[in-house]
Amino acid sequence: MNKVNLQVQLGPLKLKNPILTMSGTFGFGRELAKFYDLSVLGGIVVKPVTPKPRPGNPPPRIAETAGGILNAIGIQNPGVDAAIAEELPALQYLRRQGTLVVGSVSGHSFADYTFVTKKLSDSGLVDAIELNISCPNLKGGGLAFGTDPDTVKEVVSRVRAVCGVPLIVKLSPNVTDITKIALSAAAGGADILSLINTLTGMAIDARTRRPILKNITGGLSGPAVKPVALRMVYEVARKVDLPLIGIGGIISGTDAAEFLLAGASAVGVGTANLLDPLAAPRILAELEEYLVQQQVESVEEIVGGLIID
Amino acid sequence: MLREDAGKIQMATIVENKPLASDVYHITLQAPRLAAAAKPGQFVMVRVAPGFAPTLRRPFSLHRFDREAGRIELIYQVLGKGTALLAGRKPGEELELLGPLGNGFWFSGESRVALVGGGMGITPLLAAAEHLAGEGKEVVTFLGARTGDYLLAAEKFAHLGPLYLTTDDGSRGEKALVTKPLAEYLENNRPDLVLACGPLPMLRAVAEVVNSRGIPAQVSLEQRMGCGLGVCLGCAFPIRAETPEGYTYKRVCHDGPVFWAHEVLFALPAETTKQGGCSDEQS
Repeated sequence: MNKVNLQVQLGPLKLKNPILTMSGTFGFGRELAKFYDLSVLGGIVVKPVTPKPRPGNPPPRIAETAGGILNAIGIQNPGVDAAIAEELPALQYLRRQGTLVVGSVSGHSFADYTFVTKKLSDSGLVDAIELNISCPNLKGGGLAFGTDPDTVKEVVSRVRAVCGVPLIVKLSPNVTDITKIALSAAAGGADILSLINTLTGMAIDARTRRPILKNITGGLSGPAVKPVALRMVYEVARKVDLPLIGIGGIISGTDAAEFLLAGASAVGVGTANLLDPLAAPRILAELEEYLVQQQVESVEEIVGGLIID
Repeated sequence: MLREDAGKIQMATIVENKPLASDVYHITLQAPRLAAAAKPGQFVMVRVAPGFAPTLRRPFSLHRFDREAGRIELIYQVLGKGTALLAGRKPGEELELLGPLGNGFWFSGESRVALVGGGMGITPLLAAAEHLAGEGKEVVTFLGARTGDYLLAAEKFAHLGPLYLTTDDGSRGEKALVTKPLAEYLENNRPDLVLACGPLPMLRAVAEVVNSRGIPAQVSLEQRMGCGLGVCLGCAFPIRAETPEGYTYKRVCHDGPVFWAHEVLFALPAETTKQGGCSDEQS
């Protein structure tokens, strides 16, 4: 098999390949590092953290749906200080091997977002920070920040001011026009956009006449959301001059290729990590095979390469 | 590139897949690696059909394992599409397994162990009973179910020591909750350890009975589960801890499924169960 150049430039970040594992589906890397050598990945985005530890939502937190899963975990996390003291140091070996370690920031207020971002950025333990302003499972936080263009610009610019590393803003699909939100994030100073976060959804047990999730609603992810995610990546890529991380139901190498064709420079593997612990390296191998079949020398040749006849 | 846990993903051949009751099946799988590594109280996640439909694997506790024959046995109830698909799989076909997973029961030289199982919760206790009896320990078993048909594998426990049976309808054994003969037994006997698995109200009742007597008990918990890997935090269960809330959410798949009964918080404080448990003040 001919070697394909898998390196991609994601704005200010250089990735050894376009496969990132996404926040909330990878913990802090401890569990899946027992399945494979994480340094094969382009990067990992770790669990979102908040200023203080959060216990998360009461169970049940997860429900299976056709082609997907619905979750309402509620950003259970040990807090930013514990992440810096106990989790991120254990991942520094990856950075030495050229695999990016990306911190993820969640919160309930402007102050929460800037507080956590500054701490993570100042720690020197992350290559970039992803701003999660699109979690549907935090009341009065997360999604509330990610769905109004003016608020998005405000929170991104405040965070940008305290962030010494490249800033990735994760966009919610739960909006009328995602390009407006993307433009606001760009105006606020985002370096990179990642999309999409989960779609707000609901599952009901007809037999018991009750919602399956204790939280009643949750975030839908998995193969079921891929068409929505592809459409949004395609729309944002055409309107916004920022590099994109395409996310949404990627479980195969061709799924990843589709996002690159739609205009993403890198892709995020999320739910697939939960369905198959070896998903991310398998997707990378399958993507490489696809690129060989397509007879391209570099993965960057297919970024935005969608042909519209 | 692969590391040790990748070996937990394995293909297994179905040896037998037969009904035990109208909606309960017993499946035997040829899975030597899993059988060799398994401990009582652990579980396995089964991909009931190739590919990702249904999306998730299904978790089942190990009912029995035989290292020499390289086989494992599971008992499952047909509750939805996934288990219905599994019931339709035929001997000779292959299933993808992920396991063994979870901590399993742990033992430290106890000489007399009481087992308490309710309904489908009976299934993991057989592996524990066989292990303990094989070590020459004294095993006393208490099994309860809705009807006699659901006193699964009761005859297999009968070989291993005294057996007390209860049903809700009195169709087999005593018409009572399983905690009744347990409490009566504890009046005059003191096991070193109690192992329990079953519906939450039963576990809670067992915990009350044994905690009040200071008898250590391990309970095997069930929760709606996502990955089984400890990554998604879907299968959270509140366990007592020194936190502002008084508990922390542990992962049934990774930190459990077995926990000390006195550490399990069977009901959350009222205010944290409403509106998504988000106790942070909004700012």
